Amino acid sequence: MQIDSVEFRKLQAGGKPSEEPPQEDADGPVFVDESGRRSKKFRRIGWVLALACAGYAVTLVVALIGGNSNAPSLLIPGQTEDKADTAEETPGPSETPTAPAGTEVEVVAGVPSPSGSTAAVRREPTVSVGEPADDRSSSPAGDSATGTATPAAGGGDGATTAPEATESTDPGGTGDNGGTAGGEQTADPTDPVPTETSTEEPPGEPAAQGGQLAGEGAR
Amino acid sequence: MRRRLPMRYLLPSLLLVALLAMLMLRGYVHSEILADHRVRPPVSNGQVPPQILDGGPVIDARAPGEPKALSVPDRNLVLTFDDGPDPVWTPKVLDRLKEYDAHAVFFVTGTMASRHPDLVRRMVEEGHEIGLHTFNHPDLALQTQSRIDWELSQNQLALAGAAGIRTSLFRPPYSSFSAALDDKSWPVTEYIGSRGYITAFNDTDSEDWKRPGVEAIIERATPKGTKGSIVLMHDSGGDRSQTVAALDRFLPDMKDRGYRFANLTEALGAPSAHTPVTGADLWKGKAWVGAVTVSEKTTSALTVGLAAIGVLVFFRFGLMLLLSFGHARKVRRRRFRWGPAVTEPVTVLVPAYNEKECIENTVRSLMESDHPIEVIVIDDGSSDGTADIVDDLWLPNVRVVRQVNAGKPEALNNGIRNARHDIIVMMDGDTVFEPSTVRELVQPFGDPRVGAVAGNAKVGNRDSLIGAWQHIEYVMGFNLDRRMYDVLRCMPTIPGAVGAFRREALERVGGMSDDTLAEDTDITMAIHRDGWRVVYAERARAWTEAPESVQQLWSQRYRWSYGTMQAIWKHRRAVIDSGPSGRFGRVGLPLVSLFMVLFPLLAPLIDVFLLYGIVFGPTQKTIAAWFGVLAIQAVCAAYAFRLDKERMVHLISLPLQQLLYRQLMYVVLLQSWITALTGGRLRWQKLRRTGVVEAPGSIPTQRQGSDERRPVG
Repeated sequence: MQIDSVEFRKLQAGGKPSEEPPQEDADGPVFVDESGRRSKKFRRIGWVLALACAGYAVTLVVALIGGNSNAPSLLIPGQTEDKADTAEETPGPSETPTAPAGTEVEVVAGVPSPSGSTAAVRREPTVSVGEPADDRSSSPAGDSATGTATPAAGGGDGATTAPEATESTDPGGTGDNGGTAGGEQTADPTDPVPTETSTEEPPGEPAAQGGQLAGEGAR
Repeated sequence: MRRRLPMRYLLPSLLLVALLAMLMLRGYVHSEILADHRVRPPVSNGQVPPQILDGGPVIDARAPGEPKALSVPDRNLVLTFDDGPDPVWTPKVLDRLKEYDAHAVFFVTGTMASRHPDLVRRMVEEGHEIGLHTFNHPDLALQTQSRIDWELSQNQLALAGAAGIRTSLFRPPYSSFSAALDDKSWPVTEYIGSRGYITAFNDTDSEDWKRPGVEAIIERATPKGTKGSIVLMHDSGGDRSQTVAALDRFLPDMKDRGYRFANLTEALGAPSAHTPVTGADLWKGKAWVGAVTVSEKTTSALTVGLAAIGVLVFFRFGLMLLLSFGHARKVRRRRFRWGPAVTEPVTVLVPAYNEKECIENTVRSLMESDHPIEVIVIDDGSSDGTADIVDDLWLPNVRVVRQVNAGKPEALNNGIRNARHDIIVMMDGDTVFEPSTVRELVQPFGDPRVGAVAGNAKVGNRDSLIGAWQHIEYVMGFNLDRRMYDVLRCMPTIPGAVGAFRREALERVGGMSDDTLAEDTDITMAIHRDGWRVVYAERARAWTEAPESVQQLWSQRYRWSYGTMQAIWKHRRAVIDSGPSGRFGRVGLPLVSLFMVLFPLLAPLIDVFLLYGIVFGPTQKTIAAWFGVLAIQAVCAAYAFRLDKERMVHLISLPLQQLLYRQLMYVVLLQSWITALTGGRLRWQKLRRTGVVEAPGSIPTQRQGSDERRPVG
């Protein structure tokens, strides 16, 4: 059989020599790559493409979920003076309304209002726009760590009221609350709980005090 | 091989998922998905506080129960532009503002900001202020609270991605003066205030969106005396040339009157409403804007590409109808002759590998031939006694040549060596000829330029759905495609089921080759390149048995499409050749490559677009378009059926063919592409035969019981 095909080729050579183009480019099966190198290369390219596609889809989902609809704080002069008159009411509400819509704001929104409320509004003009205060409330879900840290540091007033309240509630269910926030604390509940719960409790506890609005907001 | 399997299905599916995501994203930022164009009729305003209805246009409702209405001080004009940024008009507006050192406020929608982030960046850089105008401009009074939150957060996300800032300013869609607030829109305004936003309505509405003329725009925008004012204009949503022209006069005129053009917080003496975004939020915004950009670019390119392909495909349909009409007219004229009648005896080659079910029918059908023939059955090492069956028939002029299994090309070459005559007919071991088939098939050899002839293969088992689909495909392929190729002189394939060759042509191109899995396509191309004509003989009918299961169909088509790709690649040099080879290379190869190998690969995209259109887009239009395309195909198919005098009843399954069969075909093609690119090896996959096909009216006693219709083995 091999001989015959050679004969064929001789024949063509005799017949129309110039017109037989180099159609024997592929001696042996077309496309087949015995070494497997091409397959490996394309597999690699394939993985890159696949990852790019998957990455695209994931990026899109991540960008779409968990948005934040709050506005950064803006202080309009002339307004603040008005607000100063009703200082006791304004600060609380200015924060609390954020709570009912986004329930995740509960913890953070409640805390700053009783402790830093009046101070915060007064302070803001000096700190240009007062971004720090609002940044906390603007990313409530993710920043719970910073949220819980700040009141402990800044809210000296709040800390004094809180421990008293928490001691009474301690034996009951608050131990669990403390546990969810920080796992270590649950081991020895008595000591750390007051400091811990001071960040957790205000929404519920200060109801007795001036923080009524904050408490309502949290519910 | 097993390791490669997941990838060849994973990657295409992921590509489709990404494409669908891009399409949906495009629909989302083009307000095709989730858009709500309803506008609510006004209601009474008894619950709106009077100080709001009578007060200034800037509402600060951040303190609940204590909303305030602020006004812009005298000699201050705050220009506000809604609905942008627009790629055409916003740059022009920005240019005018820059020219007169004016600052303004742009209330951007999230969709437009996502699509044109560079313009938002430019606004911020040039000292203008950005306010939110929701993501895709719904009437908020009709929306739920969570939708309002979503509109705000998506708008902020787009803004963060475009310019790296968040804003505290807001203007609700479809709003005008604060005096127009009513009992439905006021609660929304209050809620927006509770989220920390300052809502800005306007004092003077230019109504430029109605395009009332430059004069009217200026008149409506101008406040009385030296009063301060927030002016409402639009930089998007249509032709804004009047707005731009009005600015050209309004800005210098009002400056001369002692006004200053400030943005809102400048006018109110407040710090900027912008707050820089950092960290994860910034990256989220950037990722969003990047994703939108990618989707815009990709889907635009695809739309253009698919439109071009669509035009080409329809052009091909038209050409096919035209040329096949011409071809049929030509060969059906009463006096039409290829040349002197061919009466010399011919050799019929029947390569057979394990064809015990069919071989007897095949050979007996040849015995009925009204043309003198010599039959050579080449048994390619069958293990089921195919050769013995033929031997036992004791038929005259039938020879059996046995060889060890070496593949179909080698079997044919073996047959060519044993053939006594100069015209060689080739058929498959599962095909049945009519008595006139051979005679009709060889008549074109009366023309000495003809090197090979394609017959008309017909599907015998057309009563099942899968058989009917292939029947439609065959009738169209032979009556439209092959006639067109005949006229254009670039027939890509002589079907293995029924074809005839001049021995001289076969020998000049070196006989059959096993370089490809489609030796019939390979040899046809080679004969073309050698300068022979290849023609179609419509009356040379051969009845073949089409695959009856999806799996068999899959392997048959896999071999065909992969083999065609191999043959095209093997003969690719023809494109730069001169003479007949070059002609085939520049007409035939591009035709086959585009319409059989390249465009069908993009068919899934068409289906994705279709699906998208039905779900999100203009559903009725999409469905109408689909039926339109179907109608065109039906017309072509009906014409092909008419040419072949086939019963139209089988066309009933045409709509379903478009929904199921086509998809199978492009998955096959895709797999062929992957195999070709990666250099894998395909083994010959033989079909299982049931042996029921025979020419109608020929040897009726040979018909086998219907029990045996099922695939054997």
